[in-house]
Parts: sequence; C-alpha cells; structure tokens
Amino acid sequence: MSVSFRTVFRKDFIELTRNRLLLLFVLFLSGLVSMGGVVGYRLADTVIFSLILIIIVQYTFDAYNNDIRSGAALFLITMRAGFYRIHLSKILISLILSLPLFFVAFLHQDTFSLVAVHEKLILVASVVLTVNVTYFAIAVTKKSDTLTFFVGSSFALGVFHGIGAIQQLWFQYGTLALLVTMFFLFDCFLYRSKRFRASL
Amino acid sequence: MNATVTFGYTRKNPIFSMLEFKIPDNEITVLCGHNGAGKTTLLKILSGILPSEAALKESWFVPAGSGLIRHFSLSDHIRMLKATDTELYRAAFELFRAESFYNVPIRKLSTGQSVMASILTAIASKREILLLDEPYASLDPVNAQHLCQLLKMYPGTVVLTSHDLFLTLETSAHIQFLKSGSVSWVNQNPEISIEELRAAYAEFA
Repeated sequence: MSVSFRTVFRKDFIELTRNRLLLLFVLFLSGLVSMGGVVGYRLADTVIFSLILIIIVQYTFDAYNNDIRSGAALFLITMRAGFYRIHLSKILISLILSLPLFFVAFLHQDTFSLVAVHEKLILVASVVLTVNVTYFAIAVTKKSDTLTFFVGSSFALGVFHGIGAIQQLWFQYGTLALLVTMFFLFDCFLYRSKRFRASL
Repeated sequence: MNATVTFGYTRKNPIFSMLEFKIPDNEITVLCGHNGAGKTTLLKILSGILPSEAALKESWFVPAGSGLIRHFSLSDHIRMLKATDTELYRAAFELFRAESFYNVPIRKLSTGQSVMASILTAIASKREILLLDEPYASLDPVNAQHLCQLLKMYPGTVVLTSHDLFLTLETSAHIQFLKSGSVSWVNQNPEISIEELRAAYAEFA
C-alpha cells in the first residue's frame, strides 16, 4: 500500500489554496511588476527572476514546515509515500506559483526575454534547484524560518547570477543539471537521516 | 516478535544499546515508563520513522496527537488507503460515533476526535502491527474504554505506550517498563493487581 502522487499533489494544492498570504504576495508582486516601474527597466529580467525564486523559497519553506508541524510528514512516511513523490509535488506547485509572474513577462515581451525557450529552460531548472536547496536548508537549519529563507534565497539568487555570467549555453545547462542532481541526492539522504526524522 | 534495537542520535550517546525487545505476536503490549524513558523513540524506531534496522515493515504508527493531513477529512484518509470495510472498522466507527466528523477536515476536529480519526485510519490500514503513542491521553473515559475494547479485537500485534496504570491493566497483561534505554520490568501475569503494578512502577520505572 502506497500513497499515489495524485494524492500528495492534491494535499499540497489544497494547502496552497489555504496559504492566502503567499497567494496575495504573488498577485501583489505580479501587479507591481506589471504596472510599476519595473517594465521597461534595464534589469527587468533579473528582478522578475529574483522575485520568482524568493516566492519559491517562501512556498517550499511553508509547505515542508506545515507538513512537519501538522504531522502530515509522519503520515506520509507511514504510508510509504516516498521522498520523490513528496518533493516532485512541491516542485510542480512551485512551477504553478511562478506562472503569474511568467504571465506578466509574456504580456510584456518587449521588455522581458524570459519567454525565450532558453530562458524558460533556465527558469524551470532554477525553480527545481531552489526547491531542492530550500529543503536542504530546512533539514540543515532545523526549520529556522529566517535562516532557511536566508540560505535558500541567497543560494538561489547567487546561482542565478553565477549562471548568467557563464557565456556558453551548454555550460549553463550542465552546471544547473549538476547542481539540481547534487542537491536532490543530498535531500534524499537528509530525508532518511536521523537529524531530520528526529524533528518530526 | 523479537527486535534488537541499537539507536542514538550521536554515536557517543546511544539511547538504546542492543536492547532486546520482545513482543508477543497477535497480542497487546503496553509500554510504561517515566517521561524521557524512550517509549516514543522506541515506537518511532519500530515504525521506521527513525532510521534503524529494527524497523518492522508491516507496522502503522499513530503518534500522540493525530498525525493526519490537516486539510483532509477522515473520509479522505480512508479513501487514500483504498481500504475496504472490515467488521472491526465498522465497530470502531460506531463506538467512536465517527459519523459526526467523518467528512470534517482534521484541522476542525477536537484533539480527541483527531486521535479517534487517527486510530480509525490505523485500523483501516490493516497493517499487521499497530504502534500507538499514548492513545488514551486525549480521550474521554468513555472513548478510552471503547479504544481498549477495540484494541482487544485487533487481529494483529499492538504495542502502545501509556501513563495510565488503570487503563494499562485493563488493556493487557503484557506490560513492560522502560528505564534508561532498557526494559527494566516485564509482566505476563494476567492476575496482577493494580497495587502490584503500582509497586512495580515505583520500583522499576
């Protein structure tokens, strides 16, 4: 008996709809970016990308912290849900959360290059990496709100800027793929670690 | 069922060192002991929540509190398990009057109701071994009696922790005391009285 991915995703989606503060924050930022001074601004892409990553860090922290505090994490382990299902669900929700800001970029294609295929791929990989890094930060910092947010967002933004500095396309993809895989493996290890399990 | 448990958060300070834990198959075992004796940790080890080779594969852990998904109702959990009705489940459903909270999200239930929902989910899981952490703690005396009755009907092995010596005695004669990471006292005598149990608790727990 094992819980299906659909069930885990449904649970995370319902929880997202209950996280009204975060949803309002996403809508507020989308509105601000769309109507405010960012459109036409020289660093528009950097700003929108950074905002997406910050939202993802906050969501991932809220979602995992909620699982731990409510006992859902224990239930999912008892149900043998498997880390990959739980984590993949958070990644999918994160991608959904990045859609409003992406939509703004789509509406202002003259300003944002985010709609280009290359940028889209980098965005998706960065979202996955951010979820991986944030989970890593939660497990390592013992769920400390400020520290997790600081570690998650500074790492994600640092990687984003670092990737941008790389000239070769294949090297950008390669670096991101390596980091995504590396942090996923770290996360799998941490999920089964005494340190993390003791906090449940 | 035998399990040899060695566990510690650090290598230098093991909580359990080669603890030989024996539980009779298809019976109820009650673990007693002071706070911090390692009862919950032992249940988490046996359930596989805490990584250990002593984990029992076919077990279901019911933590103190509820341990269910807050935004899901009991019916959602049962559906998730793809559980089919059993006689025991129906009996538990009736005794706990679960009809009144069957479709209510867990976050809206009282502590006692969420514990009952958690126990119903555990029964519906049909796992061979149930591990319950202080299930009586949040229940009113009537529902505590109902739970005691239901556990006796459970077809598999049950291990639970309790601080209530009356309910412990009523639940099972298989009682073990944990103290400083080892089993300090074991009872299998069905004739033991509450006074004898109290005396043993004072001496060994």
